[in-house]
Amino acid sequence: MGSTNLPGMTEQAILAGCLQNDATAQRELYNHYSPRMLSVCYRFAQSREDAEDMLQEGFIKVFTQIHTFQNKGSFEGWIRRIIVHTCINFLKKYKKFNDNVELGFAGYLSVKEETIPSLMQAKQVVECIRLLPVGYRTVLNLYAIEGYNHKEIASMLEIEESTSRSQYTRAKAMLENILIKKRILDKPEQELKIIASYKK
Amino acid sequence: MDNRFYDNELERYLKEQTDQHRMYPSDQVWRNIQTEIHGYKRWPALTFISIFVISSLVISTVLLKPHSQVNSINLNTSSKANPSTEKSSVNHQIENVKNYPDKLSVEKITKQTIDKVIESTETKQTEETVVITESKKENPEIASATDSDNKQKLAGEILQKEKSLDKGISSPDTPVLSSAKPSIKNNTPVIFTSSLLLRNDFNSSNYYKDHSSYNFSFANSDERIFDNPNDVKFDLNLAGRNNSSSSLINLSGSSSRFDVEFYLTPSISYRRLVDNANGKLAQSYITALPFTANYLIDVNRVIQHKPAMGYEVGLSLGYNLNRKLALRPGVQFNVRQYNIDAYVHSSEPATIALLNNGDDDILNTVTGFRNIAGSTPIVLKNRYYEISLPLGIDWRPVNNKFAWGISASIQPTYTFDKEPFIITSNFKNYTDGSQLMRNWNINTSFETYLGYNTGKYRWQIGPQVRYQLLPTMNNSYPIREYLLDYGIKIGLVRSLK
Repeated sequence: MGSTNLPGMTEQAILAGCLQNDATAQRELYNHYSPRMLSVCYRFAQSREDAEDMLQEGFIKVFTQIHTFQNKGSFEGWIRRIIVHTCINFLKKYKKFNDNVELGFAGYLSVKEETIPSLMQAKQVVECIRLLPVGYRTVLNLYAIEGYNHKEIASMLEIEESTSRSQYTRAKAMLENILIKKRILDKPEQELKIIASYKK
Repeated sequence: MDNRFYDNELERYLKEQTDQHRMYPSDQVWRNIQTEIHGYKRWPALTFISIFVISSLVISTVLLKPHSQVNSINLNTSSKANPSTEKSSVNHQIENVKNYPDKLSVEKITKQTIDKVIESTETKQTEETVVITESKKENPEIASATDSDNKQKLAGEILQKEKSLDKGISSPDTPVLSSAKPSIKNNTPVIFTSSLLLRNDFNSSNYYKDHSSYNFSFANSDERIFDNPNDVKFDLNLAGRNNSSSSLINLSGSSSRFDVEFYLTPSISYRRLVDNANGKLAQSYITALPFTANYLIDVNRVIQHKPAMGYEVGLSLGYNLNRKLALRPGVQFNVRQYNIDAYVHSSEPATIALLNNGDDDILNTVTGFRNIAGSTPIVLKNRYYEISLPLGIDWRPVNNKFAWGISASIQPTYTFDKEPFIITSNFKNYTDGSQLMRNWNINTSFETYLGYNTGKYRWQIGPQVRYQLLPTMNNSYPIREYLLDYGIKIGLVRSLK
């Protein structure tokens, strides 16, 4: 476990407090990690409301299962895994995987200009990811961002490993297409170039 | 997990960008988590406020409660020279007596009260009056006294008896009151008497006498004389038709048409926005700004607002027109609020296009809050504190042990402590709108409730809707805001007697 200092309390103190079901420590933990974890949820969710529901379920699991944390690895990584699994379970529970889109349709997906504010690139990228169909988005999130391999993804989503690979390939292509359309990415011929602001 | 992140530039780019991304959950998420883990946490402020207000109500009610007043009405026997005048006068006073319960009190004297009164006639008051009457019958000289000496003598005797009677009321052991009890039949008419008036006006024409039947003397209200204005009581005098005897019955206290209600209403405030300019002004003034796509969108969709908890607390004085209908003026305090999702931004000009009698005008302000996504999300709280003078009407079709009723009111409202955030004409920024806000407004409310009567008290609970009739801002602000509160009203009504 890292020695990250959180505002007001150390991570060790927060963990000790959470183990004793102390509300103050729980609030500190929540305040520190909830913005990042809500961002994770938001990438999986259909809406902000769904994302907040996922976050709520995830943190309840964190607080009720915190005694299972064994100080192996990052505390944030442990929380993040719980949150991701919660998101997957949420999507399964509400059957959000049903609207998969074939890659061929990617070119016809309309991207509303006003839905992507031009202020923050990270926000833009997240919004572009959220334009993907749920199935593609989930695989992309798990593989490219959360770092799970296809075997793990197949197990989590209860699909074939080959399906995970193909979904990812399609999701990646569709996302590139969207990013280029939005001029977030520049793609001269076949080479992918990140726009100038990213290179800086 | 495998470590192939940095094999692909796109994946690395995605990873870095998403790691930078932050979102801030609403407060409700944490409250739900806390409730799930620690259970429901009561809001102590609500408890304290409730205790404080209820205590204030009880104390003020006790302190302001009028003393039990006892009005005195005179009905007694006395001599009268002219029989015809006497007869008409008696008839007139019989009518008065028949109508007396309505005149005397706002509520009818119940059968229980009458029974109680009849019981009390078997006590010393009745006995004393009988003694007086019997003594008159036995002594024609007194009964038919015409000269002033006899009158004075009779007056002296009766006054003495009455004094004894008064003492007897306060002292049950008075010997005079131990005489034989009269027989009181069920059809015994009710006669009212005022011993206090008798003392002072015995020689006047207010006293009549009829040996064959009843004799009534009914004092006008302005002729009543009380030893202590704060100690007024009603006396009922029962007399037998055949034995010409009269009895005194004491009824203390009278019911009142008035009651006091204290109520508390936790509520949730919603708002409805209407773009009075239909986007025309917005377009004309902010064409240089980049957020033009929203002009064609309903303003309610552009703004991210969420309802929030408020409350209402008030006191009303009810005037019962009858058992089912009451008028209810009062005073009321409201807190209504809602939240707006916004983003912090460096200060920038913010323009509001105004409507002034058809002439377009501009209000220029500076603000640091944006409606469109910016750096740091923030929740802006629009909170209004209001004092109202509601005038309501309350109808209770069912008013027994359990009651059901509906009520409505109109509420002239003064809003104070105003710091509202309003959207600019281009829907891009939020800025301070206090200078455009109305001080006075009008609200209406409608409610239905279930009640439970426990003696002098009635508990009430039911849903309430409160609607603001005029826009929150004045007419120059093109976007009209109408507030709507949904609440559960809890009330305690105490009748004043």
